[in-house]
Amino acid sequence: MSSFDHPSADAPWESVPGATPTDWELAAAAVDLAVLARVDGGPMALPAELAARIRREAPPHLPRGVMLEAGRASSARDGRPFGRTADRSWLAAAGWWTAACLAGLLVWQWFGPPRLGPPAGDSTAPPSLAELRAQLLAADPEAVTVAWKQASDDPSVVAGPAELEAAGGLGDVVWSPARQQGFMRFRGLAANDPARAQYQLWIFDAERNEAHPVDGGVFDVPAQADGDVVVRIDPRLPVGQATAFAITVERPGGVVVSSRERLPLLAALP
Amino acid sequence: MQDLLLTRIAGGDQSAVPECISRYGGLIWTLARRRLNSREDAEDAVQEIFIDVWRSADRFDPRVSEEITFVAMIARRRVIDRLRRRTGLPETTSIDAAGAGDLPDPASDGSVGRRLELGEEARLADEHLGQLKPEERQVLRLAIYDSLSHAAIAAHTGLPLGTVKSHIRRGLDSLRRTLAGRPQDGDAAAGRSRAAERSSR
Repeated sequence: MSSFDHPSADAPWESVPGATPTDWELAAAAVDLAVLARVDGGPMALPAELAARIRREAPPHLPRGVMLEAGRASSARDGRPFGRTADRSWLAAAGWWTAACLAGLLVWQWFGPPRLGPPAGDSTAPPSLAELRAQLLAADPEAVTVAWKQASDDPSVVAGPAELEAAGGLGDVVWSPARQQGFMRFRGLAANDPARAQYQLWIFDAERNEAHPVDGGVFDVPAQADGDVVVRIDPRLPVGQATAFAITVERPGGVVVSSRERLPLLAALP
Repeated sequence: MQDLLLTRIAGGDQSAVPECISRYGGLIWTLARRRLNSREDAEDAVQEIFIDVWRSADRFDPRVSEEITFVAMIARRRVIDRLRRRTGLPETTSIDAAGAGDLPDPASDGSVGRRLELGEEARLADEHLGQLKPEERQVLRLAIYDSLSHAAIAAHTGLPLGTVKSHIRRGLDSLRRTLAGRPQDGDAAAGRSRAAERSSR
């Protein structure tokens, strides 16, 4: 079955002599590309870390003869034989692997199972969202920072004035137009029960109809949040020229079109 | 004409792999991100799609389609398969109540350059969409780009289910014929259908 259609629908090629499923799929893919250019303004950039991961994990899936190595790549096309040299390096690797396994077994026997999680001071621990936010600000001088403003008086969602004053405001949005990345910081935003409601971000784009802001995804504010709550901005579509960021309260999973009945926070770019 | 990366990969040229990720990564990411709710799911889908692209590299035939269309076809398959595995039904996240299925006037926007980057077949599809009646164009977009079921399109547009199916069938069939008849590199359209059979999964 082709994948462009709904499972319950007729397969259209069945009634068209000479057409193959792939013909239809290619036609559908061409429509996809055409609409992508018109509606979304073209493709977004692939996140760099994901590109690196795909490259790292490619070798076992590549056609025979294509091999990638860190630093220097090699392949059958290099003219390097897969002969004794390769065999020796494989044997050497196997030897090291066996030795490493034995050493690991001894460590296990002597000290018991290792503790889960990165050890203290582990430099490979992933950075926190607050650190990533700071990195983005440092890396992109064009990134904008704009403070949240209370858009509606809803005490069940936003803390009172005294509490906000003590906290130093509602927080802010950092947005990098060039990188299409950003972070939101929140203070005084009430914790939500994800089973009942979630917060949803909307990004207003000067290059799009104001009635249809870009869906920035849903997020939660945990009950035991200690200090700022930082949330990564992850728009589904490219944002040409952001003009404002709005937070609405929606049903779990979010909505496609918000009624904007509960819109506690707004951050408008100057 | 762009360098054929899949042909190079199928031939064992490792330098084409990062080029391929660079050339098509954004496209695949956008197609996945647009249809899948979570970023994690989209990331998994993109990895899965690239694996499929590597494995299918030797089935790509430039007489059948452009490389970018072939890659977009694989991306569509994988994303929709993923949606079905998880929910049993395609879901949509892009449709909106007021603007659903609207497409800007094909003759009146500035995205021509970006469209050209997406290939000649995308340009032909764009032209084809521009020649359809607005109602047909909307139905095709809802079916293909927004991945709505025929029943959902009928409910959304108020059109009878039969009309929806017929718009989709006719719209795609005429585009299919247009693409099959386009001038192609090498041995032209004669080998298209036969080669298309080979690349069918």
